[in-house]
Amino acid sequence: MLVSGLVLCLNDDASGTALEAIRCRPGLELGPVEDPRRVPAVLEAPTEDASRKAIEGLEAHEGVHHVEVAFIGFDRSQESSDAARSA
Amino acid sequence: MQLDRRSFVKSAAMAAAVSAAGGKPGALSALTASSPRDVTWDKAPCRFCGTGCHVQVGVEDGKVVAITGDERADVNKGLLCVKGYNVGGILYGPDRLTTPLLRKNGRLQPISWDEALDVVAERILADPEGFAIYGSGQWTIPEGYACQKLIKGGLSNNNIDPNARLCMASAVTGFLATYGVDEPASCYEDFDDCDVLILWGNNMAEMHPVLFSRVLDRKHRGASVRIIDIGTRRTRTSDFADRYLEFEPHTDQLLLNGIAHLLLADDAWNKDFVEKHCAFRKNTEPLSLFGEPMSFDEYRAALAEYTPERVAAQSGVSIDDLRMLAGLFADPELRITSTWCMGVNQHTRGTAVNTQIHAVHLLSGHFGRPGDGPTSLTGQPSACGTVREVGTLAHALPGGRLVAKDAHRADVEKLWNLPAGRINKVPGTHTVAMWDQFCRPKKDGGDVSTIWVQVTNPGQSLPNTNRLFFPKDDLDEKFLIVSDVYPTVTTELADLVLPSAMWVEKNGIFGNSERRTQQWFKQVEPPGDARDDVWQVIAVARRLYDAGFDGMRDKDGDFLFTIRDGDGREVPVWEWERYYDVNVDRELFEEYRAFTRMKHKDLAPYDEYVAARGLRWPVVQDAEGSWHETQWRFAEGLDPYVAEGAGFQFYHSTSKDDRAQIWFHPYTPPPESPDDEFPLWLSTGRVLEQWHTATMTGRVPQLQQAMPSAYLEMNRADAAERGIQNGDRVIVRSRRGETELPVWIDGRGEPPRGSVFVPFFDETQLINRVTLDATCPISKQPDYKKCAVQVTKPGV
Repeated sequence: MLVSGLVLCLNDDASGTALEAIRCRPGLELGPVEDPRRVPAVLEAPTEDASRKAIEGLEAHEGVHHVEVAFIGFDRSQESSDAARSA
Repeated sequence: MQLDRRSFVKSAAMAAAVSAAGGKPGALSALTASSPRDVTWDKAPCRFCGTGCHVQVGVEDGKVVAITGDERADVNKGLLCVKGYNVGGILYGPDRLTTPLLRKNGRLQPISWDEALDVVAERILADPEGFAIYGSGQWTIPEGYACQKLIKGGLSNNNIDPNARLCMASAVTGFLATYGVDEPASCYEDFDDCDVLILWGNNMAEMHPVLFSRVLDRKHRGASVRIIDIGTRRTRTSDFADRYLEFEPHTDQLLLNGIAHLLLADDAWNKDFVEKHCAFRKNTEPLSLFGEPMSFDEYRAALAEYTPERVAAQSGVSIDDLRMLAGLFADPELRITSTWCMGVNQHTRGTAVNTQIHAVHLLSGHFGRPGDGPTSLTGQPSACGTVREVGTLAHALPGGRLVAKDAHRADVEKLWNLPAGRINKVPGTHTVAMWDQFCRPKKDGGDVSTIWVQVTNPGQSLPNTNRLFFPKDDLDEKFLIVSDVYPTVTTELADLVLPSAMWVEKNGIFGNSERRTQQWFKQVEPPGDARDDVWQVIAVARRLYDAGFDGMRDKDGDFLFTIRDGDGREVPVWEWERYYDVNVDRELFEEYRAFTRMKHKDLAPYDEYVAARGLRWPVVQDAEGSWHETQWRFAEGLDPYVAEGAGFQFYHSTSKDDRAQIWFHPYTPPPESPDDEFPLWLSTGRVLEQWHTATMTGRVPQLQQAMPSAYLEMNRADAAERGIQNGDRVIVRSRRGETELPVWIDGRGEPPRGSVFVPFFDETQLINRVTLDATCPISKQPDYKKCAVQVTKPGV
């Protein structure tokens, strides 16, 4: 399981609706919203590839300007996928 | 409070996100205090570029398990780029080198460290004059210092040079020629204070994203800051810029002369600043670093031919845009920051362009206020700290000294306790010359017989590798030693491979682009038999000492790397089991620190850096004993070495009168331009996700998957003209070599008609078989940004 800390950077005019839609995404937990343009979140995904696709999906979401990654947890389960390069 | 592991990781992730979102600074610190007993956190600078971001490294059971930005670090304030967030993964690629390997019967085979050290020592003893070290801006300061001492104080041949010669040598000569001393006078706070940011051929959004985000963040919050991107190809940076000005490759010299011409023609130069603080300088024949004085009238006359009409016609930048640029510099109220990196430095007139950027700032008086000045950026984490300050260059000695100067050699011999005359006064071979000599038989002038490569991958990163690297394969008399962490293009031709510890597997000190010296401690063990580079150097030196090699003794007969414990007893740090009995980094740093005062690059004691997230030199001690860093140099009130009442004082002025030099350089055509046979310009460079030759980032699945292979960016019209579609594989060919790549049209970057771009990170598609090895005559830095190529479909 790969755990990422994210900042969802939302467009001013769509932050409310975008947040409501994003909140339902699997593996995503939103943090306290103090600035509606910059929303902290945690994403859990089973693999690096799934994590990357989930972040790309968030960036493609209407109302999302871009996503900043603030943390990456290197869990032990990651070791098996370290072979990706050598495959 | 104790948390289970999964909860802990999630909490850490949320704390980092909340902190980065600007909600609750300090949240991470609170969390680390409550983390499970077996997770420890410590600081380290990021391993990658020259920005010098700090990370917090989470370690559990001897393994790095988490990375987050360090919110206490001024450089990045908790933010990291995609590479930085993944930096922990570089330690854990499946193919780490874990044992010494010696080529026997054509194959690399495991050997012991004892045998490996004997092999290195034997090569040196057989031909000490022909032995060279080729390092990098990724050497830590103690690593570079140890190599410097071995080569210059021990072997007396000065054959040491770094890959930084390929990266920032022209910035060095630009600073030296202008101010008489190397490295930027300004600092990263300029990005917080400028009204205008001018990027000279600098794709900052991808190469220095954390710094670029400081400016973007200001814009996002409504600050009035203009970004002007001046380049030869649209990049991600162009997308964020207020203006993108495209110029014909190599005509940046014309643009800068054109701006200076207009400042004089419009009587818009800063007379007061120039009259008080500047002098004028021009080339000599043959060219030289310091040139010769010229009068203001001569300067004005020299610039007369660079009219807006001529500059616009040759550069492709319109007269209106040229006037717009000159108008910015003419406005004394604006604060203008210029930055540059490889686009200016990797240039056959790199020294000239560097000095010309300084010149327009000095001529207009845009210098020395926060947000107002020229500053270069570096691509490697310690290009400044190790290469430029320790002086791991063929012509240099520590602390800004030169091997060619009698007084400087005497200084160093005194501080190293060497007999007079030990240091050779003849500069060694610079990078291109070193590899040229290595790749030629000795009978043909190839005097370099053995190269020990450390912390770099020249087989992929040198220019024109068909001439400067691969011929080694046919030269049995030459011997290549490589200390590295993973197999690379370079290790493929190595005769001896030494497995190294990396990043937080060892103690280290870097120096970043803004003169900031940054220390970290070892946090995890290296794998297998991988060992510290400093230890490798000291262990080889000891082998030589034991063999009776006189150069390894000081004038009292003591070992060159004698290190004593607190009781004054010598510690045998050349024995790996004893290496960490003392902090060798601290010992070498304290020895090196004595060199830093001459050029006012004063460093604080080691322990001051332990407590800080880096300090910018000169670091000076006040009467109460506290140490203070310096943000801006040469300006009264900001730089402690500027005399009261001076306003500005360039205290290492080459004209010996505290003045900076405003240089004139005539436009000089490039050595190779497109023609009928090779009709396209080729530029090479880097990408956001991969760092340099990808030996580290290529082992991190997230980064490798995001940018798995190189490509050739091509203009849609050029592609259509050749019947090439997006994704087609093509051959890119120059007079020197060729490689095959897929084409990317309308991709991340957009080259204009007549030019293509290829990133150099991909070891399976070696673009440096194609590039040109012509260098700047002063800095000896090659030009990777301009050569002539043809692009065809395979079989055509």
